[in-house]
Amino acid sequence: MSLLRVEGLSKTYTTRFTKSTVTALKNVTFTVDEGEYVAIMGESGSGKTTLLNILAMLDKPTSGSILLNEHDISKQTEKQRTAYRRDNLGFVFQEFNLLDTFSVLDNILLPLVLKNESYEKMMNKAEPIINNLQIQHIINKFPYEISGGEKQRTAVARAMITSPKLLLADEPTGSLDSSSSQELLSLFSKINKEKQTIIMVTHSTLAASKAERILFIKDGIIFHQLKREQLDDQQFYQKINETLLGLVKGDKNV
Amino acid sequence: MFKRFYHKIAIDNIKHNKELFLPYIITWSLTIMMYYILLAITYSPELSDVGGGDEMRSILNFGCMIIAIFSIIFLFYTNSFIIKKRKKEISLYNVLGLDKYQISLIMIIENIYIGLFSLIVGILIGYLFSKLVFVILLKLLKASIVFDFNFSMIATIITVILFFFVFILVSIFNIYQIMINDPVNLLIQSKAGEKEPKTKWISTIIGVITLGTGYFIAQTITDPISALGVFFIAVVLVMIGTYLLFTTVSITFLKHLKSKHNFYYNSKHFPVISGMIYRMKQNAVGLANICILSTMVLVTIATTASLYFGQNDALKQQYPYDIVYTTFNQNDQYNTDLLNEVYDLSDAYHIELVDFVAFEYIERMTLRNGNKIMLDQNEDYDSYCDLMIIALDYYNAIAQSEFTLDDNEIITYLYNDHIDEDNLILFDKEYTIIEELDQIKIKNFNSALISTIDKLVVIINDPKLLFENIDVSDDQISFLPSYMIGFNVDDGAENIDQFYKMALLVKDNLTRVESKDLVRQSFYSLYSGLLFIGIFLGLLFLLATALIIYYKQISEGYDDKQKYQIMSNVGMTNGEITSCINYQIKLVFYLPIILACIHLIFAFKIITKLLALFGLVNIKIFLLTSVITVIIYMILYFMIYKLTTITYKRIIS
Repeated sequence: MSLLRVEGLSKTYTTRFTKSTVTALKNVTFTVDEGEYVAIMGESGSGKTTLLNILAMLDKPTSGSILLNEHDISKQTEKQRTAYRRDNLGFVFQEFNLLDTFSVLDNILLPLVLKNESYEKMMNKAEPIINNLQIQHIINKFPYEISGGEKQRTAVARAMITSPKLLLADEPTGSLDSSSSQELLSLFSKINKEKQTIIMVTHSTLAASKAERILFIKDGIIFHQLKREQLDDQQFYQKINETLLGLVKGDKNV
Repeated sequence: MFKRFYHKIAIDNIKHNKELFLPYIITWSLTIMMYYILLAITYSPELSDVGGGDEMRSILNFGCMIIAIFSIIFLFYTNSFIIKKRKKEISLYNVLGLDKYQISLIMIIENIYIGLFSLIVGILIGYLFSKLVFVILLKLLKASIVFDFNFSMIATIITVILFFFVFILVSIFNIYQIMINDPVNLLIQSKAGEKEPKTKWISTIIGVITLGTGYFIAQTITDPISALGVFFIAVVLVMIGTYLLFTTVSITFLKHLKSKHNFYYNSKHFPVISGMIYRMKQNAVGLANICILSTMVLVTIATTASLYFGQNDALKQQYPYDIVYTTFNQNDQYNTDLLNEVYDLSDAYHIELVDFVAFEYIERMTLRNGNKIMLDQNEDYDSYCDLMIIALDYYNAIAQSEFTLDDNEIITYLYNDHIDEDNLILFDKEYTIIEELDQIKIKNFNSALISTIDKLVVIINDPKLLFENIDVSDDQISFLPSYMIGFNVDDGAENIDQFYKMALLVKDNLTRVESKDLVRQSFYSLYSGLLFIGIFLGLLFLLATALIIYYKQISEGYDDKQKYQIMSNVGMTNGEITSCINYQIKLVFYLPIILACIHLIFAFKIITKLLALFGLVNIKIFLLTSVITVIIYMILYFMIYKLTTITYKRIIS
């Protein structure tokens, strides 16, 4: 059974001054199964961030529907959407989006605090995640005191703490150096093995090569998808590169 | 060619930084306007035509000086805020290839435009309003209203000179800021997080102690003279306490709340507490400034208003009789002549004399210890005692009583107190107290400004007998009698003005005349002058407060924007964010004003003591003016809050 079903999703923007419309997404349809690790690849301006924002319900689609566990979440009110987002989704952003005024621990606990859980309950949930992500040593530090890799692990911990059905990651390696990127990606693979569904938006072939399946998006259209099947990371990486090369050449039949 | 380029940049800067410059220009204009109005009234020839106008002028002159000093401080402060906000812009110019000299030039041109514009607008509005303000002042003075009030050249010149000086000062400061600015640092550093402030126990304790001590001193004051002495100390202590309260005590307190997990980890408290810790770090001094300015506004206006509205009470208190004649050590014939002259005068003008008293008395400062009254400083004593001795015949005449006394018997009256003994030892001689009076018909004796000095009236058969035992040769004057006539008249009576005029001419220069009517005019000019300056200063402080709050809000708005964006991403609804923002803004807003009110409450006692020095003992008046002032201030403050919150929310969303 699919966890997420996106059907005929479109998004058009109207510019404020000229009133001309820009189409960001055109009739996007795909599904994500439970426990899957899906990467969405595309260049800047391809519509991949718009797609993620709509999946995250930070933005409303112009038409189409999003079904999470067969519930249409695209038509909900602002309040319902926020509650739904809080309960079912976890986010990892390129810019970490940690709050400077909170310690690492408080940043991780933030979503639970907003749900008004008791301190004991929060700590019970936080402890295994903190141990799993190996950030015990920094939980009392503040974001400005830790490295980029540590910040992103904190952000992952924050995303994981609500045990979300879906983890959404927007260019999670975009602000990291290569070794931190590797660490983060193996972390994603690890939590995916623990049955966490992940959707990651990226333009990095390396990051995408860790996923099970890749959706290629260009000019607001999902025009291709690639499955890992029996390939290992290296081979999958090769295959993605070939696909991208084909794209550049304009070969529509890759 | 180049010059024009600078002018263009300068004008563009002002236009595009409206949020920053508009309040700044308004502040300049209003300050200039207020200063001009005050000067124009001070130097107006029309003021001399008003009764008490010259006294008023000297008070206004004093007010001008105070307003000038505060204007300088205040404009300087605003400017320094703006230049801090613009450092990034300055760095950008630097990076784009303008050298520091050129940037300074642009800034000076900006300030010239702002200064010139504000001067013209300020003086123009000042001119338009000066007539109105003058009429208000005349109303306060209870003088007849003259609408003749012209443009004042001298006020204009002085205003221009003062604000040119402020302009120079501000420009020097700005150039200095530009010179020390390192552009590279500024472009990089903006995103670096700020450290969480540390708990500073020592300053926290000092803060609590200074504030507590200030409050304690203000509460334990008993008499006006010592109040005068310690008032300043208490004010300084409370000011230090206020600064420390905002800078460190608040952080200690918030950190304590943070350590309480069940309180801290709550969706309502969580964002607010951590936000407040940082906000206190950045804004503590600003908030303390607001608090102190607010306290100043409240105290200044409440006291000057109570003096103004209580002046009739104060006048009555200090001058219980409309007319008082006193002569010193004259013979009985002289005194009788004086009395007859007063009677003749009242007959001539058909004026009825009310509360009439005429008596001889001896007044002497002595020392008291229980029922013992003595002269010698070396003996044990509890308090000073102002002793008045009156012969029984005089007292019986005044009180229309028929007391009779033996030579060793006396009647006493101790203001606000009782001796509670059967006898009184007066200069080593024992007298039996036949009766202790609760009230005395001689109104001068029914008050004591300085509560540590007792006021004791002794009524005795023959005052001269009292001093039989005492060697008065080295201290003669103190035991010689004075003669006093005091009475009230019906103010509404016909011929009253002529009567007052003639009453001043009674007898010769051996007799001193005090006329309440004469004093009243100088009371009016003194107290209406003080109230006027008080309101002016209050408005200036309010303007300062509004501006500090405004700039605080907009700078915080920019800081908070990103924070609430993240909160929204991790699952806070817009409603939750709004309520969180409101809670935090309200806390920051109301904290200074609440503390200012607490300051006022604690200052209440000491201020009433000081007001007593001005003869105002009616606490109700001060209570009423305080409450009204607080309410009006709260309303104005709330309006400022609403206005700035609109800007803040526009930045956030």
